[in-house]
Amino acid sequence: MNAVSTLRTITNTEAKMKYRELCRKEPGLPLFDQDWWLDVTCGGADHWDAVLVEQDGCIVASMPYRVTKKSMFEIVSMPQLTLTMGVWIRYPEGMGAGAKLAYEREIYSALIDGLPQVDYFSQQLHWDNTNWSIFYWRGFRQTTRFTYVLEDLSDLERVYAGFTDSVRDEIRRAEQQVKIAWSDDLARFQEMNSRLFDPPRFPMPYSFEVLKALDERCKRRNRRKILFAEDADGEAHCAMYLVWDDRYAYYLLGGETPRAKESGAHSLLVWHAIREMAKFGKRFDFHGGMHEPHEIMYRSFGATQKPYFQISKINGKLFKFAYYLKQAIR
Amino acid sequence: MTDAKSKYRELCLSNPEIPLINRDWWLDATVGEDGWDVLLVERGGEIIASLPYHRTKKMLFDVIDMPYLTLTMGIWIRYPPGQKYATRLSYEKEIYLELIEKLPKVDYYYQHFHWSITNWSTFYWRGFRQTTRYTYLLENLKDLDRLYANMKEKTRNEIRKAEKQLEVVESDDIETFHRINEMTFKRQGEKMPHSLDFIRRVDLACRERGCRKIWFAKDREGRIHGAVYLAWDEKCAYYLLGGGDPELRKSGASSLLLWEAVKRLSSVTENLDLYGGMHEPVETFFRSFGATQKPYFQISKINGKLFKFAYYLKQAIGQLAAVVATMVLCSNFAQGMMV
Repeated sequence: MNAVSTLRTITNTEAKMKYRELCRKEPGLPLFDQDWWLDVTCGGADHWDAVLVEQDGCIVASMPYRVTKKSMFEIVSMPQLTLTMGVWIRYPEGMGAGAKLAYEREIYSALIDGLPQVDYFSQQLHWDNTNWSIFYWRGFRQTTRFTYVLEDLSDLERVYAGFTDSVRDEIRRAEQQVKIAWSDDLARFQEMNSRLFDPPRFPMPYSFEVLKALDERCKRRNRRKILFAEDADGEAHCAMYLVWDDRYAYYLLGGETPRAKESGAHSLLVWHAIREMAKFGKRFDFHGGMHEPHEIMYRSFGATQKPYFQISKINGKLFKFAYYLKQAIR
Repeated sequence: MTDAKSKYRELCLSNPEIPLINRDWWLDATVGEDGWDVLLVERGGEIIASLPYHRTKKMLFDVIDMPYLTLTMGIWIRYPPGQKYATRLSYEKEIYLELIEKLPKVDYYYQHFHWSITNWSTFYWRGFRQTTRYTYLLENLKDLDRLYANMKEKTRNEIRKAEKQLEVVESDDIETFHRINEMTFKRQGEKMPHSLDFIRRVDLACRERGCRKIWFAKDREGRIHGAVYLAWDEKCAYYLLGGGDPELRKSGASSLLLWEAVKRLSSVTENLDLYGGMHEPVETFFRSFGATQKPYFQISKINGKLFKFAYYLKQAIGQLAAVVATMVLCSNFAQGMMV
C-alpha cells in the first residue's frame, strides 16, 4: 500500500509542540487527552509527552503518555482523575473492515516505535481503540475494564424508561425534598467528596491542589459544572463534579451525606445532569464502574457497559524480577 | 455420570444454540468422557445457563484449562425475551455468581469464553483476571457477492489463478489430511501438536454426525497442494485445521480452499469462524479475506499458593530455576512437617 509508506513517527519536542496545536484544532480529541488537562493532572507540563504519527504532513494519530520515576524505575502510568489517555486516530472516510485493520496495524506500529523504553508501561486507552493485536505482537499485555455510558440522550423519555423502578421512585421522592443548585464552590464540593474516602485504608485517589488547578482551567474553558442537591434548609445531600468535551459529559467526581440515602437525592442529581447535558447534544459517561457498588448504581440508570483496554508491558529486567517476585511471595 | 452431565447431554441434543465445540460428544472426543464436567444454573426446573469445563492434572497441580482444538468454551445463557438492559446485567451477574460459586477450587483455572460473553465484571470482583483475544469471522455466508467483494484484490487474483490449475475435491481420508497438516508445522519448525489417533477420534465423532468436510486442492497430476478441515453447527462453521505442501505453496491453494469452503457451506450454516488469529501471519491471511475481528475473553485465576509461587517465580527467574526453587521449598516444607 503506497499510503502506508509515508507514515512518520514523531517524538520529543517536535511532537509536543505539534500535539498542543492538534489539541486546539481537532475537536475529536477527548477532554482527557487535552494538553491543558495533562499539564495539570500529570503534575506539570514536563511530566508528559506525546508520540504522533504523521502522513503527508498531517497528523493521523496521537498518543500522550505520562512518565514518572518510582524509586529507581522509570514508569509510564495514568495521571490522577483521568480514566483513559489516547490513542486518537484519524480514519480516512469510507474504510472497509479489512482496510481499517490494515491501517490500524501501520498506525499502532508507528506509535509503538515512538514510545519510550521505560521499565514499566501501563496505560488505559480510550474505548475507540478496540484492536490491541499489534500491541500483543510487540509484547504488551491487555485487560478489559468497563465504564458505563448513556449513548443517546436525544429521547429523554426513553432514557427515563431505561432507569430501574427504584431509581424512578427515588427521583419522585427527592423532587419533594431537594432542589438542584449550580455552584462554583469547590471547597464545599471537596468537603463532601472527601467523605467517600477513609485514609489510610481508602486514600484519596487525587490531590486537592490538582483538582483546584483543574477547576480553574475547566471553568475558564466552560467545561465543568458543580452541582449540589440541597434541601429547604440549604443543606446539601449530595454533589457532582461534571466535566465535558465536544462529545461526552463525564461524571468525574461525586459526594454525599447519609441524608442522601433517605431523600433519594442522588438519583435526582444524576437525572438533572443528564437532562442538562442532553440540551447540548452530549452523551453521558459515568466515568468508571469497575468498583462493584458503582457498577450497581450506574447499571440502575440503564447505562451501557463500555469496554476499554488497559495495556501494559514490563521492559526492565530488574523491574520484572522484582515485580514477579513480589507476586510470588505475596 | 453426574446428574448435571446427563442433563447437559440432553440440552446439547435439543438446543442448537450450544456451539458444536462445546457439545457433549465433542468434549468426549477431544478430552475423553472423564476429562470434562459441566456446571448448570437452573430456575424452575429449567436450565438457564451452562458452563462445561475440562479438568486435568499438570505435574502436581489441579488445573482447569482449554481442551485442545477447542477455541472457546462457555458460558451459554438463556435470556428471557424482552429483557431490559439494566435487568440483563443483573441477570448475568446472578448467573455468573452461581457458576463461580460452583467452580471446583483448582490451583489454576483458565478458560476462553465464547465471544457472545462481553461482561466479565463479576469475575473481576471475584479475583479473576482477563485478557482479550481475537478470532476472525466471515459473517452471513449467504451473501457470497459481498464476501467476495470484501476480499483484497490480491486474494481474488490468487483464487482465480488457483482455479485454473487446481481442483477442490471432497474426501474422507483423514490419514492423508493429517500428513498434509503435519507438513505445515514441519515447515515452521514446530512440533505437530496432535497425534493421528487424536484427530481420528475427533473425525469419527464429526463424521457420524455429518457435520464435517475435508477438502483437498489437487492439481492435474493428482498432487495435493493444500487441505482444510471444517466442522459446523446450525449457526457457525469452524475452520478447525488446514495445511499445505511447502513445495507447492505458490499456487494459492489455501485461499482457494477457504473460498470454496465458504461457497459450499453457505447453504448449511450462517457464519464461518476462522478459529483464531492471534498469530501475526494468520491474522494477515484472515484480514485479506475481509473477515471481521471478533474479541473473546480469556479468564483466569490462580488459587493454589504453591502454584502461584511457582508461576510467578517462573516469570521472574525462568522456568528451570523456578522448578528447582519450588522443589527446594517443598522438600524443606516436607522436612519441617516431619520434624
